[in-house]
Amino acid sequence: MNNANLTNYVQQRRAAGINDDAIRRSLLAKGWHPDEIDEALGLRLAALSVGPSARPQRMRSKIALMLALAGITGVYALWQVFGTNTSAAAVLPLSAATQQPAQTQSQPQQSTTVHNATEPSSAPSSNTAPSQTATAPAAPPKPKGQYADGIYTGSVANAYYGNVQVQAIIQGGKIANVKFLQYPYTHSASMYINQQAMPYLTQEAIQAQSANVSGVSGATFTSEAFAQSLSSALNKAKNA
Amino acid sequence: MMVLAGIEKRALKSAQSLRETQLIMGMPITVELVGHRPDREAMLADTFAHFTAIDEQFSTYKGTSEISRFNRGECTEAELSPDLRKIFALGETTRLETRGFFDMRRPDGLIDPSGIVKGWAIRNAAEALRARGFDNFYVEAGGDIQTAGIDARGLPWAIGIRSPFAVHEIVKVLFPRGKGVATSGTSIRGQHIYDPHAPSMPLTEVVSLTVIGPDILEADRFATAAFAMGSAGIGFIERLDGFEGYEIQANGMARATTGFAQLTATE
Repeated sequence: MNNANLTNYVQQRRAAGINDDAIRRSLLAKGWHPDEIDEALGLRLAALSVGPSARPQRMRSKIALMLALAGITGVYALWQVFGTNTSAAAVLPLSAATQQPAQTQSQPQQSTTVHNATEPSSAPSSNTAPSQTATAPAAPPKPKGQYADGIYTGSVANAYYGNVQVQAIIQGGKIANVKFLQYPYTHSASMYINQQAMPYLTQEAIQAQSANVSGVSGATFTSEAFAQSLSSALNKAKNA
Repeated sequence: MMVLAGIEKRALKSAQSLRETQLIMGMPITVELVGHRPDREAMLADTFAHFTAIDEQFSTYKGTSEISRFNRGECTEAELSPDLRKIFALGETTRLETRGFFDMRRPDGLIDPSGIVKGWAIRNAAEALRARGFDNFYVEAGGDIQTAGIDARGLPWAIGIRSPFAVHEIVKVLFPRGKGVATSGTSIRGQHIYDPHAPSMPLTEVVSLTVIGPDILEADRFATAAFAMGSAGIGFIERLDGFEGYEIQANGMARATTGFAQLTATE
């Protein structure tokens, strides 16, 4: 299958009612590179245009709404804290991204797609603040250097469909960049570096099972938003 | 309403088994007893009472707990109860066995025994069940599971591994056959496990690590430690005699130890 066929394949699977998650996993299992899959799924290019909601779920919509609220609160807090055009610009796209699911009552894979809008390339290191052009409203000035320069990693925040973790880079007391270290279904360069050979271990792509089980072992989910990760990174910068 | 409640209760109670879930220690705790003994209701109540008592004594979220009093300096190490001493000793043993990756001492200097307490509580509950002649049971606290014997269908207990990406999805089915199954992950209540060697370093890459060990206490403490090792954790479990592991990475790939496949076999 070449990349054009891959796109066709994705369209056929979607038409058959298969969700993007399942398509992605089966392609991963067949050895396709995640970047090619993302492209075929349209996660890179048409980040904000997504198909019709196949099965809206009230609970998930609620979580999306909570995320949106958390995002807005986070942005407001950051404005209060930073008060520079750069920092506001760096954070605004997050807000836009989180608001989207609430407005469209979208389903989880749409949320994932929407979030990718803040990350044009799959490598988090290339995720520079999308609008350095000072289009964001000006915020009240604050004394320079209230944050120590450095790189601060936020905690891992659960966004229901996966984990989000960000890193804030402070230069001259301001946010110079916000990088995503963890993102649902996206990849950081470090992930590949760490796939060192352990020949005795068996490797596979995870696949959903249907079976009659008495119990499930695993982590449970909370509705905590990714904004939590950023605020924890910035707390570190403040106290550094 | 009463009728509905009755139906729900009956759904979990049959001639073959009695199963109940309660929220204790901030997590759902489920106990299922297989077989129809007249004392099964009493045994179930005792088991939940055991978890409640442990929560009262060891919860860092309860100001009145023994561990909270110790952390506030209100009692010395000499004044500790035998149980808390045991837990401290287990924590120290685990710290040494895992080259310091397991450490109950938090970066702020306070002691958080929860990495031991959960597995210890489940194991003690299981021992109490066996001591009273219950041979077929399921005890789970927050995704960590100890089973014994057979389930209500008369089959070996089947346990799923939850997908870290979809809460209602399982990605593997295990037959632990008396072993303990514990999973550590980043998705439970944010990031609750850190690498004590580098408290500021995030744990990325690995999002879920399931460990199957001789009993739930063993599985739980090594799951916690191995998860803190990041991508090296599964290798640590591979080298650990009597343990198997299943690691899920953020990209949806999984790695299993060499003996893991035997646990998924129905025979």
